[in-house]
Amino acid sequence: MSEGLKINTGNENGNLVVTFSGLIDEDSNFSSLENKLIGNVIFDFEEVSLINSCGIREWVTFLESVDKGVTLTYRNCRQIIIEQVNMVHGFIRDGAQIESFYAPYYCEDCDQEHKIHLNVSDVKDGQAPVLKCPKCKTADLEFDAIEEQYFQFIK
Amino acid sequence: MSRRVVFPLKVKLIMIMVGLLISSISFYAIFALNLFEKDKSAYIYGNSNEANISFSQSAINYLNSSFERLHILSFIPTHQLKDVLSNYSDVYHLEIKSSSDDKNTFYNLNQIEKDGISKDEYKTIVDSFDTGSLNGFKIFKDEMISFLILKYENIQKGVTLTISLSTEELDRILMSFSQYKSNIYNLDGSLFYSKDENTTSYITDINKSKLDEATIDVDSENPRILSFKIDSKYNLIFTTEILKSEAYKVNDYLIGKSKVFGLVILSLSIFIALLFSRSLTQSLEKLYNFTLSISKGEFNQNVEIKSRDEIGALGDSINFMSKEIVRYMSEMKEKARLENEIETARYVQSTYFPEELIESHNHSIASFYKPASECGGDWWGFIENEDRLCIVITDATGHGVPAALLTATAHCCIENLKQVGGDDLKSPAKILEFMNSSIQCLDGKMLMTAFCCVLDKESGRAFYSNASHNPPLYRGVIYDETKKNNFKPLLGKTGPRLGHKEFGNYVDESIPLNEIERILFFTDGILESKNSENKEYGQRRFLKSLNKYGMRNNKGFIDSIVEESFLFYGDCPIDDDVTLLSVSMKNSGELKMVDLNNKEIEKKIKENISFSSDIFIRDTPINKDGSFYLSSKSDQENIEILMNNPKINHLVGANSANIVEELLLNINNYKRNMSLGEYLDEYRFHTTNVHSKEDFDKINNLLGTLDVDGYFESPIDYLKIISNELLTNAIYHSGEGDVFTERSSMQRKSTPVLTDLESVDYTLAVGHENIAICVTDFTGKLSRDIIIENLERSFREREHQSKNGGAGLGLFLAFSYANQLIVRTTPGKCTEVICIIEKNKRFKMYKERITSFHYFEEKDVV
Repeated sequence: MSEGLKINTGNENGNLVVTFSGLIDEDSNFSSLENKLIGNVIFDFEEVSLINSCGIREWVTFLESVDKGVTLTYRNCRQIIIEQVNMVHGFIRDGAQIESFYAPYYCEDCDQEHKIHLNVSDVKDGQAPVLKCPKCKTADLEFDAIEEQYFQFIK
Repeated sequence: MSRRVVFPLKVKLIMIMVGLLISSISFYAIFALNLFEKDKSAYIYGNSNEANISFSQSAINYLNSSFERLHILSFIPTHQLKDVLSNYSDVYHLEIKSSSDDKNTFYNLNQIEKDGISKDEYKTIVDSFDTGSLNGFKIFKDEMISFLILKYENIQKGVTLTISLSTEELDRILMSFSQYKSNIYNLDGSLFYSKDENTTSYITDINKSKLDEATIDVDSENPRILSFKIDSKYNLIFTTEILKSEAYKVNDYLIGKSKVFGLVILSLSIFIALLFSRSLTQSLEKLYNFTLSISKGEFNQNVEIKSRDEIGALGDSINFMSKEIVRYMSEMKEKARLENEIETARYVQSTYFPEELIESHNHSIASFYKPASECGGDWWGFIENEDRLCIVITDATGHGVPAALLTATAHCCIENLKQVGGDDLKSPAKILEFMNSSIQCLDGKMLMTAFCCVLDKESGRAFYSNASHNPPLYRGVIYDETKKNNFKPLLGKTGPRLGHKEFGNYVDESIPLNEIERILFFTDGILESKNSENKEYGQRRFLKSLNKYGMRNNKGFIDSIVEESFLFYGDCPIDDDVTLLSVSMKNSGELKMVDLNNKEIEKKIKENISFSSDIFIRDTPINKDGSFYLSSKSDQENIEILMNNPKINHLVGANSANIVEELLLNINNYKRNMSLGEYLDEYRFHTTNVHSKEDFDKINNLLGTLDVDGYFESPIDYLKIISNELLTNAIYHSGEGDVFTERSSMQRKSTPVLTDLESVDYTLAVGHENIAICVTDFTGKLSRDIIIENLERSFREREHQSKNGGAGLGLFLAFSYANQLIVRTTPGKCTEVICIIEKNKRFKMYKERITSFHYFEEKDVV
C-alpha cells in the first residue's frame, strides 16, 4: 500500500493551516478535516510527494465538500502540484488562490537545476522573475519551463 | 418414349356406356317392376275380395230366398201345395207339420228321378236324416244324391216346414267364379259345402286375422290368396281362394317380357357404343401414332382427321405445331450458330484484356470489366518498361460484336506499339494519334473514346492525353478524410474521338508523378447504368464511393467500388459496359520514402535508415499504413491528428533530440517485431511481478534508488506517477469476463490481487540516453482506439471522470509525463506499454519535448 497522506492542522494569525504530507492518491482520507474548515484556510503542499490520477479525483471531491464560504489559499505548491493544477480542471476551485509555489530554474554556470520558491506576486505579466543562482550567487538563473504553460494557474 | 397402352380408351368408353345402361335399366326395372307388382297385387287382391263378396252374397241371397219361399208356402193351403210345388224344379220334397203334429209330405218325383233314384230310395235317405233335430238348414250329401234341407217354423200359422232343395243352385253359385275355388264352411271350420271334398278351411289363419271379411296370404308351401267373409246370420264362412302362381301368372309373364326387352335394348346400346367408340378412338389412335412419329423426329408428316369435332381441330393443331417445330428448329440452328460465333468472339476479346490484378515493381493495377452483352465495346491495355507505364482505356460507340471488333483494333495498335513504339511511348498524344489513324479505315462509321496516360518515372511526371474520354480521377499522397473529395480529374485539352477526324491533334498534358497516389481510369458505363427506379448511379454516388474506399489497397478499392455500384443497380442489367482500373504507385527509392520540409533532418534520415517500400516518413499526416509522421504540433493537436488519421500509428515529436534513433528503432520494430530488450537497449535494470497495489511500494523504492545523474531534477517523481498509473490500469483492467468487469469498476480504495498467471510484469530499464518503464499485462485489451479516445477526451475535458473505477486520467498523465509512449498489443493476449523519459538536463526541454506515440498491433505472439 502507499505511504499514505498525512494531514496536520495548525493556526497562523487566526487562520487554519492544513499541512499535507506524502502521496495524494485514491486512499487519501480527508475526513479529519470535516467541520474544521471555516473562514480562511491555508493548504500547505510543501511535503506532498506525489499525486496520481485517482488522487486528483479524491482531491476534487474533497474540495466540493468544503463550504463555499471558506476562503482557500494554496501555499508552497511543489512543481508536481503546479503541473496538476495546470493540467486538470478542478484542482483549485474558483475563488481560491495560490500564494506561493516552486518553479524550476537552471544555472548555466553551475549546470544545475534549482527549485525556487516564488510568490504569485513575483510573476509579472506571465514572466518568471529574474533571479541569481543561489549556489554560485553570480549567474542569472534561467527559468526552466515554458512560462506560458507553467503560469497558467495564475490566470 | 410413350408408355404401353394396356387399357385402351375404346374399352373404357364401352365399359362406361354399358355400365351406365345396365345401371340405369336395372334401376328402372327394379323401380318400375316393383311398382307394377304392387299395383298388380292390389288388383289381384281386390278382385279376389270382390269375387268372395259376390260369391257370399249370392249364397246368402239363395238361402234368404229359400226361407222366404218356405214362409210363403206356409200360408198356402195344403191342397194347393202340390200344384205350387210342381212349378219348383229344384225341390225334392216338402214336409208340413202342424202344431198338432199332423204331417203332410210332398215329393217331387221328377226331381228325385232326375238324379237316378226312386222315391223309396229317396225316402229311405231322407228318413235316415234326422230332420227333427235340424235347426235352420243343412247339406246332405252322399254318393248318390246331395241336397240342401231347410227347416222353417211359422209360429203364426202353427206349422213347421221342412224342404229339401237341389244343390244345383249352390253349385252354380260356387262355379260362377271359375278361376277361384269357392267354399262354404261352418264357423268351426268344418266344410258346409264345396265342390271339392278335399279342401282346407284355413280357419286358423282366418281366426288369427280377427276380421269378418278380408283377403290374406295362406299356405307357405303352396302360397295362395284367400278371401273370406263370415256371415253371422247363417254362421257360415264364405271363402274364395286362388294359388298365387295362378293369380300372378300374367304379372310374371309381363315381367319376363320386360327383362327380355331390357336385354334387347342393352345389346343394342352396346352395339351402338362400339360403333361410336370406334369412330372416336380411331381418330385418337391416328393422333397418337402421329405424335410417336414426331417424337422420332419425323416432322414432315400430316395427320388426316376427317371428323369435324374437337379431335378434328386437335389434328389440325398438331399438324400446325409440327410445321412450326420444323420452322423453329431451323431458327434454333441458326441461333446456335450465331451464339457459337459470339461466344468465340467473346473468348477472343477476353484475351485482349490484361489480368485483373497486376503487381509490378513500380505499380499495382487492379481492374474490373463487365460487358453489357456477350461482347463489349470497352477495352484497356498497358505497356510497361523499367522507366514508364503506359495505360490506355477505350470505349467504342455501342456495345456487342461491332464494338468488340473495334476494341480488337485498339488492342492491335497497342500490341504494335509494344514492339515498335520506341520514343512514341513517352507521348500519350502520339499513341492516340497512332490509334486514330488505324481506326480511320472505318470511315467514321465507328468511333471510340480513349484516354492514354504515361507514368514516366524517368522524368518524374505523369503525361496524359484525352480523346473525348471521361477524365480519370487521381488521388494525392496526402489523404484528408475531413475533405469531402480527395479525388481530382486529370484535366486538359480534349481531342476528338478516335476515328472521327483524320488528324486528332491530341495534346500531352502532365502533372508531377509524386503528387499521385493512385489513378482511377473508368468508362461511363458505371455512371450511366440505372437501378429499378430508372435512376442513374451518377457521378455523385461514384465520387462518394471513391472517397469512402479511397484508403483501401488497390484491389480492395476496385472491389468495393464495384460492389457498391452493383448493389445500387440491383437486379437491373447494366446499360453499358463497365470498366474500371486503378493504378497505384509503389513508392520506391529514398526520394519517395522521406519527404520533409526540414531537408537537414531528411538528409540525416536518408543517411542512416535503410528503407523498405512500405514506409513513409512525412512531416504532414498521411493516413496510411507504414506512415511515420514527424510532428511539430502540440500534444493535444497531435492526439487530434491521430484521432482523425486512424492509420497513422507512429507520431514522432519533431523536436526529439534523436529523431533518427527513434525512427530507426520503431521502423525496425515495425518491420520485424523487435524484442523489448532490443527496444530498451542493453541496460536493463530490473524486472518484477506486480500482483496488487501492495507491490507499489517496492516499485517506488526501486525508483528511489535510481541514479538520475544527467537528468533534470527529480525525473523520479514523474517515473513514479507513470509507474503508478500504468500499473493501476493494468491491475484494474485484468481478468476476463465478469472478473474483468468487476475489477474495472472496483473502487480504487480496494485492490484486486492477481494470480501468478495474471500478474503484471514491470520492467525498469536505464540506457545511455533514456529511462524506460515497461508494463506488460496479459489481457491484450488496450487497443489504439481506446488509447487515442481516452487521450482525446482527457485533453479536451481536462477533468476526471465521475464513474465507478478509475478517474480516466491515468493514460493522460503517463502520456504527458513521458517523452515517448510506445504500445505493443497482441489482442486478447498481452499489451506492453513503454514510457520513455529521455536524458535531459533541462526540465524545460523535457517539457517542450513533443511526446512521440508508437502503436504496434501483432496478430499473435510468435
